[in-house]
Amino acid sequence: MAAADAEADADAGGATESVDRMTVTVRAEVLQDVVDQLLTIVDEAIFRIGYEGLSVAAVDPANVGMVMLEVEPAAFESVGDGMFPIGLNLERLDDYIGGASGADPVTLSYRPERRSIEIEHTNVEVEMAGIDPDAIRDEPDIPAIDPSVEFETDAGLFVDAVENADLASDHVRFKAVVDDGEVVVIGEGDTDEIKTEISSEDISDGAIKRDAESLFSLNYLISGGMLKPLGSGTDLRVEYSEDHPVKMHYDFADGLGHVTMMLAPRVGTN
Amino acid sequence: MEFAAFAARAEELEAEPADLETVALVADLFTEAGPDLPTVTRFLLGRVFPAHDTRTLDVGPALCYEAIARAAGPNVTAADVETKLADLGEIGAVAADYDFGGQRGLAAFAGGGDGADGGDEAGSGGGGLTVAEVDAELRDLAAASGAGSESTKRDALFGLFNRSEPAEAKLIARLVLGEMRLGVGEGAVRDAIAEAFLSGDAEFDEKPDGESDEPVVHATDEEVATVERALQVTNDYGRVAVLAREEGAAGLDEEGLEVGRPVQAMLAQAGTVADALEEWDEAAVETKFDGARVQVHYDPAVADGTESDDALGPKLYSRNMDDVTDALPEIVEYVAERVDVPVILDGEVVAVDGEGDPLPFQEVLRRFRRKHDVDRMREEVELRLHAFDCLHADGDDLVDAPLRERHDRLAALLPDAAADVTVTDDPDEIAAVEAAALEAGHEGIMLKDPDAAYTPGDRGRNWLKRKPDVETLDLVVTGAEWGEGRRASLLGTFELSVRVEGSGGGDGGDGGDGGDGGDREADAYETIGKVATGITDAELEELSDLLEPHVLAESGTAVDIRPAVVFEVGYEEIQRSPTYSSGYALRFPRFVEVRSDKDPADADSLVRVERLAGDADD
Repeated sequence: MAAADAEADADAGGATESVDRMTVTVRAEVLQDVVDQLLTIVDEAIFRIGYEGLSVAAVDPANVGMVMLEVEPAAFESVGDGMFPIGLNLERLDDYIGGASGADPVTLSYRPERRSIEIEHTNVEVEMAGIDPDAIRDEPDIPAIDPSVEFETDAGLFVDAVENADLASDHVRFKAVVDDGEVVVIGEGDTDEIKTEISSEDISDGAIKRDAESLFSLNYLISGGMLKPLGSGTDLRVEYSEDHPVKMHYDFADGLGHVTMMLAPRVGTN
Repeated sequence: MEFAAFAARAEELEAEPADLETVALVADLFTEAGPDLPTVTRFLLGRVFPAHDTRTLDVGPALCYEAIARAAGPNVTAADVETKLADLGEIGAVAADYDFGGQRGLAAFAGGGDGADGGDEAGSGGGGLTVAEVDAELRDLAAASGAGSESTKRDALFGLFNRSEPAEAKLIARLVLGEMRLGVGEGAVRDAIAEAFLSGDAEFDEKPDGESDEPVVHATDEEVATVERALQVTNDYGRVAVLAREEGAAGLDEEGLEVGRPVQAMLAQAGTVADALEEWDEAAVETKFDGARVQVHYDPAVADGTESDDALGPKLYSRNMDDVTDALPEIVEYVAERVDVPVILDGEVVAVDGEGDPLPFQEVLRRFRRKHDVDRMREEVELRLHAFDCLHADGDDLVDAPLRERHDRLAALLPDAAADVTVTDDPDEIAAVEAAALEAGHEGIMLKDPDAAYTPGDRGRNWLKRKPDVETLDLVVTGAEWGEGRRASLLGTFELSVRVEGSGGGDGGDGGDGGDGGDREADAYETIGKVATGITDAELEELSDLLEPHVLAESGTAVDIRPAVVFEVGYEEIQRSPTYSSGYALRFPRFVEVRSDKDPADADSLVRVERLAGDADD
């Protein structure tokens, strides 16, 4: 999986930022997946698009959740010979590409002199103004650490476990004990508690290296949160350590798109 | 400046009951504010933006409660916050009572930091907020628009609470809801600016015996007046504070009006013809129009027949300095077609029928803040501009000029729209003007001192409004009761209060200065009665929708409501009464309409009620 690479490169910003007009073409479903994932935490983001593909990272207004996303150039029908950066309002972009679907080609033409992009698909042409990149929140640079717990499981199973926690609480606790070899997803309400086990049989790869438990806000995960685009059939890799951000990685676009989601924990509440 | 340091000063101010000491404390804060001086000045008054700026945070109580609940911890709900609010009485105390900061921010883990330990990294729970950061976050929050803006605002506010200690959280909650409760009004800020930056010695004086640390404020009346004048023409406390510090009195004296920067409207008191003729040699008598106040700003910036880049407007601002330009296109066209020099005009927009006769005030309201269907409503409701004052004309600031001169300039600029003025010392002539105004369907007359300057924001005795009979009061809704039976889901029996000027602030009472517009001395509100009649079921539904977002607390069927909505209420008589806290009650009160053009700070005052009841000292 190349998600770790996406994470490492998210802040790199590409090699050569183009000041010339340039055009890329991508399938509608790929672009739609990108927008859908970003919209789970932000309404505007800075894209870097071109011969290196697409990369974008966005942190929510409270600096608690982050999405980093990379699409390899092979996922594009065509790429230019430079990279262009542009800040875009995601709700408007979502509206503008809504008429295209599946493999419909969507052409994005960068107009640096107007700091805008032209979007063309089906029988639609849109000129969309960019947002000043300085007006968009910078994402923090989170160093990689050796996680105490990392496991890969079916995304549908994981989402179900997290949604179960929501039945009793507005936070979810991930708890893993080395000797048990399983991860327990817990929702602790004022009166009720619900536990869903992700057993070793459900874990296709990974290791519990150290006992670890951490608490996370469900606001960021479900009900339109970061897990919204995920369903059964997608492999999800989860990494966390005691009282550290949880990282969740998955691929899309036939393995050419890579997503890393990150969520900071709530601490001091046991 | 660390936000925690500002919050500590705010706590001192809140605990300080004495006016002079408050001014000294604020002056001290200003001298230490450094580059944050404009922000600190505005924050003290419950503002993020200058008063002339039309941007608002647009954060209601419900959104604030949700953000607090999220920061407060697992399984705390907005309903829990409201319950605590009912116990503690105000949102700042509620925010301070929770233990925020359990939710880490990602930035706490950046660069190898161990966010689990808290610490000072930006984004961690607790610590690290600066005044500039809070200002920037709130400005970003105000800029959020579109379908997801409410969620963005909630997230941003949650992020701020998450990073705040109790004293900081208290201030943030109060700031976003415009209820600072520090006991620091505009007058104290004005005096403190003079004290900090114009007075020769801002240190405390000790009495000769050395036993008292009673503060002495050194700023002279002249220095305070210099600040006051600059505030009136700039309408920006932050800017004036910086100017005073950087350039002193000379810099403040150079400040003038700026076309496109609205100033507060000059206001009138109620008064009689006898009052006017006793106080002035002559009275300028004008028609009192039953319309909506507008301030017109226009700079055609035409040179050699070509419009330059400096052109602006015409822009139209309401009495509360909201931009209402788009809603009133015919007024914009009227001014643009007739005026060819930069101007700032004051006037009233009135709805008229096909014959040009005035229509009731509510017809204007159908147009005034409309954002949609403007063209259709333009066909339905015809508007006319009656300009009655000229603050600026062709490069000349006229606020210090006498009314006679200002009106002459106005009449030369807009002869058709300039209100007629009769200057006389003859009561019979005044009565004739009044009779003609009423005959024409207008509200009555205004009496003005023809030699007085234009004093923005001042409700002085230089303008008097005389109505033929005092029949209605504009009162603030401070409570209500849930109905019964088929009205069980509707609010009714509305508790009404009069405004007590500048007596609120940190008293923990039901005072409040309303939204982001807290640029007045903190007012308090005292009850004067309840109104339940004159309201249809349809109106009850509308009033319930209007008032529910302002509900502070509920007990049984009784509901406490944050002062935000003004009702015009008719009555037959004002009586002294021990039942209500104002000491007065209305006989046969009846609901007339919602005064959506007025803030609580514009509601009728207890002083006015005393005068109407014949109990005023004067």
